[in-house]
Amino acid sequence: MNELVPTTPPRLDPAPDLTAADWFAGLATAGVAGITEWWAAPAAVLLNMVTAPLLSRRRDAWYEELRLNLNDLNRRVAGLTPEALSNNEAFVSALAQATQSAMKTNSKDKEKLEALRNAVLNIALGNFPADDLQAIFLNLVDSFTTVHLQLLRLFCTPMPWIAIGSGVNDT
Amino acid sequence: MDLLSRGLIRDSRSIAARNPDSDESLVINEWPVSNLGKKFLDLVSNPPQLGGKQI
Repeated sequence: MNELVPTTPPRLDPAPDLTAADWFAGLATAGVAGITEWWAAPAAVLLNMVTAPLLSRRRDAWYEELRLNLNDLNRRVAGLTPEALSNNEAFVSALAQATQSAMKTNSKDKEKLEALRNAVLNIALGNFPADDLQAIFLNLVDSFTTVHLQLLRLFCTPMPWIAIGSGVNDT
Repeated sequence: MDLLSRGLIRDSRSIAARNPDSDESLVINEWPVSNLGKKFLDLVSNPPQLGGKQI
């Protein structure tokens, strides 16, 4: 009888992007599905083909950045293990909510993505005492733009605003 | 106004001066961040364990 030897699973290659054959297959599926329901089925198939690669890239980038930061935190904070986080209700809820927001956010919108990432990390660390405000604040980040976040930070530290104002008055 | 309506900043104007037709006070008046706004900023700021706040 063969003995089972634990081995490290091989590293998987990333999924390939859509090729011309994939597009042809998608269009063919759309055409066939469109015989009975011309507008609904083709639109679902085609729009999925259009949006899936970018959404997938956004989700992968979001997860990868979180993974690196959680790994960094794990080395500095005792007890912040994947096992502990998997049982952390607040963290799992926040991650699910923030991931949806991150996938909707343009990857160029670094400040908003950073706010979402920081929120998830703070919740993982237990830096956020009021559980009931967590969902509300994550919803706010989701609906806010970068300008909202910049304005709020500016109002919190108004000195740069004063400097800008004095500069305008001098001219 | 989004920040104000959600309670993240405080309206320091007198009640009589809170005229919705004028946005002049947006640049003249001070708009201090409320306690709720500070909690919000704490949540979205860099964790202290990763180098502290970035406000």
